[in-house]
Amino acid sequence: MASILSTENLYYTHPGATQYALKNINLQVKEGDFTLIAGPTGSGKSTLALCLTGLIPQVIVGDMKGTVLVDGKDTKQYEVYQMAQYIGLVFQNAENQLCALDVEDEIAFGPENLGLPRAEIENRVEKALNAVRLNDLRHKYTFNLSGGEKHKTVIASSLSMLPKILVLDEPLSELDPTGCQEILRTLKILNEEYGITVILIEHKLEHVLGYVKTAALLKDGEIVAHGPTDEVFKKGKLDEEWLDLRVPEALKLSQELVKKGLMSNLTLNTTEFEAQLPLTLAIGTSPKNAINASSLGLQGEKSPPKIPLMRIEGLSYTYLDGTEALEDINLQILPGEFITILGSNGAGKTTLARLMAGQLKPSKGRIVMNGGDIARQGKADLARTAGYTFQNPDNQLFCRTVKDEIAFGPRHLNLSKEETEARVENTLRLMQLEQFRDRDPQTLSRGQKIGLAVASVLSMKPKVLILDEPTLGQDSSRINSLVGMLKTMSKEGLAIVVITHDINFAAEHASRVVIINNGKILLDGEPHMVLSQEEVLHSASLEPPGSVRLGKLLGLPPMLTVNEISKALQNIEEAGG
Amino acid sequence: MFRGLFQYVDSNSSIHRLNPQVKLLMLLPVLLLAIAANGIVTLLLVVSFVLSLYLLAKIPRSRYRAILVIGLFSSLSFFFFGMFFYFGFYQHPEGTITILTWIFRPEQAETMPILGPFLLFLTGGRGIVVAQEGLVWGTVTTLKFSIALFSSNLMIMTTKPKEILLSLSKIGIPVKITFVAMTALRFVPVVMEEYYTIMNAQQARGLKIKKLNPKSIFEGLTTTLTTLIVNIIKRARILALAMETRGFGARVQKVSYEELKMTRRDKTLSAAILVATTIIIILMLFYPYHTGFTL
Repeated sequence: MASILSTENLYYTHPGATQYALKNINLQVKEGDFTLIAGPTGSGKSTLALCLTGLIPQVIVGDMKGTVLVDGKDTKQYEVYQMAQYIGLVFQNAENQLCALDVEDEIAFGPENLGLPRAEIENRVEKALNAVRLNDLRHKYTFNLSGGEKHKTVIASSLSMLPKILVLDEPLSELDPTGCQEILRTLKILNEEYGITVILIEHKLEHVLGYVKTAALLKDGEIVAHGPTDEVFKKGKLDEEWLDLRVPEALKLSQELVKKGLMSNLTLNTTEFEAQLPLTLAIGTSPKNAINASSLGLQGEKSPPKIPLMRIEGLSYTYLDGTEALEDINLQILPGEFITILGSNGAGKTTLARLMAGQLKPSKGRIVMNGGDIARQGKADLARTAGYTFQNPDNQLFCRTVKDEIAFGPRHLNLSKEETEARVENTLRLMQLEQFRDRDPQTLSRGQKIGLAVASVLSMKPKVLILDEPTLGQDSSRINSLVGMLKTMSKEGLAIVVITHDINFAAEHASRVVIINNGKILLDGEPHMVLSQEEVLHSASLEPPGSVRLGKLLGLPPMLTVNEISKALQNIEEAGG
Repeated sequence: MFRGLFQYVDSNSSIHRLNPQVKLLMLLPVLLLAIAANGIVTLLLVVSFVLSLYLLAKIPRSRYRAILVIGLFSSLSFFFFGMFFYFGFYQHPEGTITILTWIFRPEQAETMPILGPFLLFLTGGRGIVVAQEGLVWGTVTTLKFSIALFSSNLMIMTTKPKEILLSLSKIGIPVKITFVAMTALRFVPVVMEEYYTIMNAQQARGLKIKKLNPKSIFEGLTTTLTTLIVNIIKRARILALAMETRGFGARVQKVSYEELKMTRRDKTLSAAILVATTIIIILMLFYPYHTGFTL
């Protein structure tokens, strides 16, 4: 089949930049393909999307060389609205792309602008609604929709332009697991039933690989691998650096096992993995038979009892409109703990976090800190002991320089000048922000901004630090470096509470996991104990980490990460050999 | 506090179902009365007419709060102004107004060191009185202001922005202008939400806003606004790209998906409104004193 989209020697430089953002891109996408474009943050994925859709060079300036042909048409010669009828683009944040009030109007927006006859517009709206299965919500207001539904609306509004190709720029990054599945299923329908060529840009690959047909990997603006998904991910090109992409755990583990010579092929998913079993260890038996508790090294050290920093007692919260967000929550937070609070969107996680930071007043119950009810302590005073960072770092950076940003907190605590200075320097070093000291916070990357937001709260030396979704839109190396810094602090007694729907984050880093659903605590405890309870997790619309299934398949006790599994296997071998 | 003011209320009341052009037309006599009428009884009748439309539109109770707060604040300030400055401001000759009680006589200026001369300066040397006319003025202005506020708010609460857009472009206002206005309205709640988040973020970093300290308020506002504006610009850029990919700016006549249908009820009502408007104008011109109109 012929290529419906192709680029020839495409180079692009951002205005004012000296380095290429895209280098020598030669991409061919066949009609009816479902392609994944993956790459770490800053690899040029979004820039490529803008080039493919003609927004570069038509709207965004910068230096573009080479050609992009969409269905045989050169993007340099067509205006955006003309190109939009061949190729549609959906951006990362759905909210910012909605221009009308209700779903139907949103979808009609494009065809209206094209000046089509009214009957044709109605026809297109109808078809787009059917394609994304939003018929029941057609008169709903876009601001009342869930994250997944908003994205579907944006996709439908692009479909009504009748494009042959649809490009989606990280549509999954802000969605919970349910929302992700919803969008991927929709894309599959569009691809298979409607014959639309889909180009999906993502770095969160756990769920994606089961859907896409081909993949292209982007690194530093260059395509380093391109071809059928199996080939790209299985032909050993996936070196250590590529693991940054959050690939499925079945792939990660199989890679480890292949390296050790325990498995012959790489596997993309659990089913493929299972097909390669049973595993025979070097000691000549399967792990199931060789296992004993001592060989796993799992016994936790017993720590002396600690006095809780924060006690939440019988906490309930009801919104003004009568919806109950939280019901009878009881929690104790101990010094040095790394707690993750998990739940799907709307479970009440953020409400709980904001109550803990004193930003909302409980309807019932209380939160005790510093020996008193926090409802009686002012927000500003509470800030000394309970630090809070918001989901969007853009909303909490308001100073001219990074240094000022970090000094903002201490300055309002009436500390001495020397003490403020010392804290700022200390925090800059700790959060590895020294080289940005005099930069304007707005010019930092998203990852750096999150780091700065955390730093600006840490400089107040809180006892409890609450982070709301710090992992959104971040690749794993950045998450790991943030966690590394936080763990240094937690060794000194800081308690860290992370609100997230990212279960792998909890599996990898938490010392305690709390699952919330419909405003109630379902589970609370040690991660292995909590995250291996598949049924309870499913009831909270959460998917247990892939390693839990893989560990079970291998006959191991609950395992949370690939590292744990491979360590356990090694221990078994050593103990047996 | 002002969340919910000037925002569409999703419902299917008889007012919601009216053609937006008829609603715009209905604003005509109401606003005409608000401007021209000066009789308290007449104005009260208009206010109760507008409020009865609120009941017909089935506006939920929670939406009344913001508008009542604004109404109350403005009426207080109008009364304050009417009571304290009517006398001084309009320079009425002594004896032409009914003084109920003196609050500050010019003689008192000498006994009050700084405040005295200042008040004298503000009132043009005439002092402060509570006068019957001042109270009437306060009442009338409050009523006029309420009519304008309540009726325009009702229009927005019962009409989809899209329909307002349509009916405005029907009377000849360019689509690009009405679209900008509507987008601004659509993003008001989002921006408000963000404003509160930024304020919370500042307080979470120990900023105490001292309510009566201008320096503290200024500091809080400038930092908040800078962040807010940067965020708005970022958002606007994405929105602009998204609109562009959906054909906004195509050089063709924009078509509207929804049609504004004139039902029989709409036509009858429009005729009634026109007749009422004519009657009001006739009354205003020929019987101003009997009906509380003074032009």
